Amino acid sequence: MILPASVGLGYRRGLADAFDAAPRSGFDFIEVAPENWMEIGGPWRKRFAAVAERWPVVAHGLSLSIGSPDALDVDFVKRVKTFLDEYKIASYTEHLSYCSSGGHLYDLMPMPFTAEAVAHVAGRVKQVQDILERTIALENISFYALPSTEMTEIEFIQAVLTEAKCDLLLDVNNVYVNSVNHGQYTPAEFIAAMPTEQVRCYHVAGHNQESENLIIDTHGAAIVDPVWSVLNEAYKVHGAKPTLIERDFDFPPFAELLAEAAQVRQLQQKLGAVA
Amino acid sequence: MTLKEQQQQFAQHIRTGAPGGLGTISSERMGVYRRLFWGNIEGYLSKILCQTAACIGEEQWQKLLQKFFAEAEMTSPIYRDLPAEFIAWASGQTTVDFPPYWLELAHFEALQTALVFAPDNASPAWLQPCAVAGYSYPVHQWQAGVVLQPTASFVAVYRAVEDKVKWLVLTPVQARFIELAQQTGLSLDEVVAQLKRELPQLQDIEQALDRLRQQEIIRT
Repeated sequence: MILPASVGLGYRRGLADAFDAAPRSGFDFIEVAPENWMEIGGPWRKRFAAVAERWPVVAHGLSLSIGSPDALDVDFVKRVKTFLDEYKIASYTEHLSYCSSGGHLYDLMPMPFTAEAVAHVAGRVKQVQDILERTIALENISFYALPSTEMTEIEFIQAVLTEAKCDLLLDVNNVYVNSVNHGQYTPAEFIAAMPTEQVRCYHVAGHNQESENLIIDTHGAAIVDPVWSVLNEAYKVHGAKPTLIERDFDFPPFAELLAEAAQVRQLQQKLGAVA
Repeated sequence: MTLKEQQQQFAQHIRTGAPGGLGTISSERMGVYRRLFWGNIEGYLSKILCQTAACIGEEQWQKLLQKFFAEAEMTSPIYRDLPAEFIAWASGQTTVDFPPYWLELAHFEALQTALVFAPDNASPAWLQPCAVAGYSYPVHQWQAGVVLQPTASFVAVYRAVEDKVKWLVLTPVQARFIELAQQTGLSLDEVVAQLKRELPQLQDIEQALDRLRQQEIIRT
């Protein structure tokens, strides 16, 4: 059971020793990419199974490619379902994006923000949800280019959520990154435009500022103050919800991640005290 | 342009790294995509297939990966399958300038990583997770600066007890034994009986099996 006011950490192989040694109370849940843990055996299966006994697990997929021009990989979706069922994972989230076109490219490409794309994604979300027997949540991704400006990013996400009737994984780092990279909105404007009842959970992460107007979403650094502010803003508007700290590279001493988790809890508690 | 065409054009631009921007997208921003996507592919393959890269030389390796990145249509949604995708693609390429065993070496390297993650429920249950490869060159002996001579070799790459991935050079009889076991899923005794029927002249099968037990391919 994952409570609304809760904090999670991404379970990565490079952090496995630290998770084994971590206090159970340091955070409330873990998040994994199904692609990295499904259909494996050996040492990593054992380690993952042991960690999944200690913390509830949520899944955040990488390769669904929900917006892809390639056909939906139905067999893959079924394999994901097997994994979710095996570890009793209720929440499966993915990216409002595509990572394949004439084959996989293993990274996220930005959707053209068009009505045609809204319809395309919505149809596929329905197909995926039917197979998984779960409502999925899609994440607002970081992007560095706008392939089409028929709609704004905010309009596009709103339309997808309305059409697809799925949830939103609100990534507050990506809101901040895109606000800098494209200058189309302030983070507060974006947050305010999202439908509260469809916001399932949050992601928060560090990034790499390459220049004044270009930030790369690396998940390889500490969370910066402006992003903490966006998270706080999101809590005020949509309430406290399960919040995941993403750290995929340049792992710091685990105490630093636990400190970030404590900071998330502090924000959530402060909110509770006000409400 | 349809949605499909827009997306295909974007992905293709990343793959081929055509100079300049794309429509209203600047060359700098398309370059960001190119750099991130390429880094994902190049970084992982160069790590897993590091001996292969050394075998054909860094410059050739980078050139080959560029071609792979531009052309390959990778079907697996699982990132760790990337080395297998690369090998499948590379086996259709003309690479006359490379040592003739470079692809067998890549296969051997990829197998060692694959076995770390191979499912536990191997069939039959008395065999550890194991893959047998038949090579034309003894790629398990490859080292920088060594030129291999053609010698048919069977190598088992397997996960021993304690989950350590090991490899073992097999005799043809041992290789056939494991192949039969994996194909049929029968008991050890039944596989031995079948092997004896296949190779009636075979003398000392127990000795061959003892070695597989000692090396923890057969569970004891």
